[in-house]
Amino acid sequence: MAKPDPANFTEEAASLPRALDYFRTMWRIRRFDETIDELFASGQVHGTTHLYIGEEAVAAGVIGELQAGDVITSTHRGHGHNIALGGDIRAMMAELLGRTTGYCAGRGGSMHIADQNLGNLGANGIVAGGVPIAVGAGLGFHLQGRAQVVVAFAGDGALNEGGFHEAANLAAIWKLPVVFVVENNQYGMSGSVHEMFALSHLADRAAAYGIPGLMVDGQDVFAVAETARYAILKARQGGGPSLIEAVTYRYKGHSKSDANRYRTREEIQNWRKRDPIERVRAHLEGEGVEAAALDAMVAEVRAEVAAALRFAEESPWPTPDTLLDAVWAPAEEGAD
Amino acid sequence: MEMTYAAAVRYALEQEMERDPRVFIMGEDIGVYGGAFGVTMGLVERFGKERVRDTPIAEEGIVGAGIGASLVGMRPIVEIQFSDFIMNAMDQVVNQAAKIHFMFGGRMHVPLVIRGPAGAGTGAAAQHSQSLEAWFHHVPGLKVVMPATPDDARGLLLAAIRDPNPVIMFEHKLLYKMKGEVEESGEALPLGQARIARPGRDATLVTYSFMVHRVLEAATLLAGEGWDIEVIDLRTIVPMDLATVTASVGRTGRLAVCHEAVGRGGIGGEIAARVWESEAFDFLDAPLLRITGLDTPVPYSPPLEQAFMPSVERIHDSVKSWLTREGAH
Amino acid sequence: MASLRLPKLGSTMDEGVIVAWKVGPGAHVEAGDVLYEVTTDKVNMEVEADFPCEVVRLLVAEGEAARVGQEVLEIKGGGTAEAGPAAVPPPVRSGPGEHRMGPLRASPAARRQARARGIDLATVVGTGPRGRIIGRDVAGVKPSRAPESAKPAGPPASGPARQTVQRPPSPPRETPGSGAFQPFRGVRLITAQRMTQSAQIPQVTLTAAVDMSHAVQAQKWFKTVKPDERVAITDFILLATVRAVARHPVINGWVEEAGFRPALHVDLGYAVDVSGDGLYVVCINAAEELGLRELAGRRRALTEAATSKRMRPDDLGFPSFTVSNLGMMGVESFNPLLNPPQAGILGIGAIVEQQGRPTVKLSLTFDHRAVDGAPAASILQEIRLGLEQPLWLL
Repeated sequence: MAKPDPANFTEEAASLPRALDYFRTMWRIRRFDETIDELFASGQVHGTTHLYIGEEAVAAGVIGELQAGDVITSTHRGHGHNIALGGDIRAMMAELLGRTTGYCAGRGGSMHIADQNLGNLGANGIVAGGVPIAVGAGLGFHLQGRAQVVVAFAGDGALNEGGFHEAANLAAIWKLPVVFVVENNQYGMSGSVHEMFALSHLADRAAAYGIPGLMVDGQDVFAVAETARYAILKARQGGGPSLIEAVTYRYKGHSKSDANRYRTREEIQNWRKRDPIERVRAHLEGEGVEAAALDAMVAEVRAEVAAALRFAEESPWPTPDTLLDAVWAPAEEGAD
Repeated sequence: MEMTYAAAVRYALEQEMERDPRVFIMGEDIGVYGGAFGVTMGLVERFGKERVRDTPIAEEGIVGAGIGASLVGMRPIVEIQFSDFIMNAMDQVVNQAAKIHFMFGGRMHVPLVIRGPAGAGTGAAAQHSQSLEAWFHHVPGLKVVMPATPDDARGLLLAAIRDPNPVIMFEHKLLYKMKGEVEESGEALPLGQARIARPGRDATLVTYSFMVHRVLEAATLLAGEGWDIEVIDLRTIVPMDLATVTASVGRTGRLAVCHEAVGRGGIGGEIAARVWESEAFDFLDAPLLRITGLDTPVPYSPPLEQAFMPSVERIHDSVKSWLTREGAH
Repeated sequence: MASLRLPKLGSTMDEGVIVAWKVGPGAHVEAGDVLYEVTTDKVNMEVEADFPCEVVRLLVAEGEAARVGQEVLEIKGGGTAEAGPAAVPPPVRSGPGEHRMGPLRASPAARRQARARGIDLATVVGTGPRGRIIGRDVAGVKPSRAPESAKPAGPPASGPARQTVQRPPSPPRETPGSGAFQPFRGVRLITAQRMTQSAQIPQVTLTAAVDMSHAVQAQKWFKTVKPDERVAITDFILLATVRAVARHPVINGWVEEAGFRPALHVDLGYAVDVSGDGLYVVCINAAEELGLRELAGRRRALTEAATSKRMRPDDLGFPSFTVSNLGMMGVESFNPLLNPPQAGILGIGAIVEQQGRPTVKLSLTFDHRAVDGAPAASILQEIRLGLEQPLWLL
């Protein structure tokens, strides 16, 4: 039997093209953030950044279940969400380098990269800051009678913010089409979930809002997708919000200032053994996809990211002359 | 048509909800209760519970929800029951609403209105009586509206709803029952246009919101004593109509400011600084006079509360002794 | 505990002598109460409290000098009740840096007008609080120099307002049989310097006797018709002088080292003796624009201000020509000394009967460097003719 060629996959092989999609998406996320890591390490980028490396399955699995017109709110660790949505990594890289061609024209930086045209209502520098906004988007869809769904990404730390609680309650009482996806990467900066919660499972918080709480292995993109599919469908059909706890891990420090003093090398290594991309790769190879084909895909992604970096580096720096005008939305944006 | 300030706010809400299906209101007890000050009385009967939406007591949640709804094409109006409670929503107001347009490179805008009663004089004490406009004035990306008359409340609220930026409107509690003629055309008043409430030659007194009325009363007393005060009602704090202020100072050579908010770090200082920076500096003939709330939390007991707020008497006496000292005659 | 500092009461004031204390320790003073009398290089003034307070201690003894900004009085309770939370600090309780704010206290509006119209603010009398020059003060002043000109112009550099006070020489040793040495201070010192300077100027005095019959009649008629206006014989003489001087700009102005700077107006100085204090010259600006009654009114107001010590140093202005009157003290005739840098001064003697007619001796002293005898004589002649035919003046 001829080995399947990734380029020739059809819809009939539903799970295979989707798995290849996951593989490519997760690699794009990883390679993008690895490049950012290198840029920071070599001092080519200023400010700070929060890397998604290790958590790729959550963004890829959840966002893969969304339909056109659905929206998300993202977090400070948001590059992965925007890439999973299909964001332009050239504009993302340019934003990180502070160039005019960046998503935010250089005004936002790492924590505010978001492509609104793809339904990203904003990455957010404030923990849980995007959660009430997600609920508001859900309210908007509800009032408009649109069958759209909102996914509110949040970290484990966000679950202890008052804003999360207020927003989750609003979504629950109004049965809004919102899915809260808690990326439990075990640490809010250095604060371990074991120290900051008296719960074993963060998904149990859902009971307090009277909504379903689901827990899933965040390193398994297929499991994530299946869980998300259920919650999203429920929301779309008017069944109200759900809370998904995706148990995951970040390989890198919280941000660039992190010396990883609060966890052991051994712990990080143990999690690396369950690497979400390697698991997809094993699955694909098990399905008969040639390693060389997957390597070629990875090489393609690397070339794409390298090209994005060149694009960003060649892009012009912004000039301050437009800064003051940028504060206000012009009146025509409010036109009917 | 003559109506109260509260009715004028309601009238604008009705007109705009009638005109624009994207507009909806949410807040605590705004439905059958009609709002803590009765502003939304009757609206739920007319527009239904979806568009006149009672919320839990969760200011951060509802302001954030207003932002989110505005991002997907709605025109939300969030009522904060007492504007002091906006402190509970500061992250959503300051870190989110104000910054989204700028921070995301102009790709999104937040056409959100937050409105609520402000000010002292009702015995509501320190956490229900503040005038916090200076806090929001300080944050780039927020517009701040403080109408002093029923028609300004109507026209500026219409403008606020139609504006593509987040706008905060503070309604002084002591104004709600004030009556005045209100325009019926549904035309908005422009944001950022001050009004000369009383022309005068001897000094320019800039004020806004409820203090406009006390200042006008003081100016009438002063007129009887030979002092001719020009009173400017700013109407909107952001954007601020500096041109009207500087032109007036150019005519009078003297600048005084009056607001109920505490003086320290207040709008009065900002107005003064802007006049100093402007071409009007060369026309100044006297030092600044600020008449403001005392630098204390708003007290409860009536004599204390009255002492906190600039009274007609305090405004009159301060201006008179200032002009006497500065030799305006 | 707070203290009050010696305010800068005039644009040229560096120090003042506390002539008399009007309050003592323990006294409670209200705003407007006189605290002390101070004499500066130009004038004696009363300093008032700007706010109620209690006097704790006097820090400068009577007769002692204090620098501007020096603490002179210790007080307590200096709050103002009226101004509310944003009260401006009480004006006289000046901070340590106050007198460092600049040589002149003038509002931005006054400075703008002065710039635009070429007015030296040092010559302007401030009527705002603490003597601040405000817009209307400048509005009434005639330009003294070309606006914004590159060359320093305006009132002569040696003009009175620019005169720096020389330190008095150290007192000589006590001489047996003499009283205590009294150094020249304030007005006395200025007069001493000015007169010494004047004595070195080549000056000539011309004297003429003037028949005052008609002037005396006119003055009596005035007195009957307008009893309130109190027009004096002196005012007729001033009016005649102003008219004559205005027609002869050669004597109306200031002599500088290498030339003469004519004044644009007749800013008429009038010397007033203030008993005990010395001679003050008050200034009637643009006197040529005034009629007899206005002139009389201005002279009377300024004289009263000077004798009651309520005038401001800057009220003294920059006369372009001075009149000195010793007639009321019975002096028949005297040779006035020039008040440099002015080019001329007129002395008025007493009215005496001569051949049955009231007659006054007028003496015109002129700076011979700038003015010759013949024009000076014709000026004196015109004054005489004006007084002998007073209807021409009116």
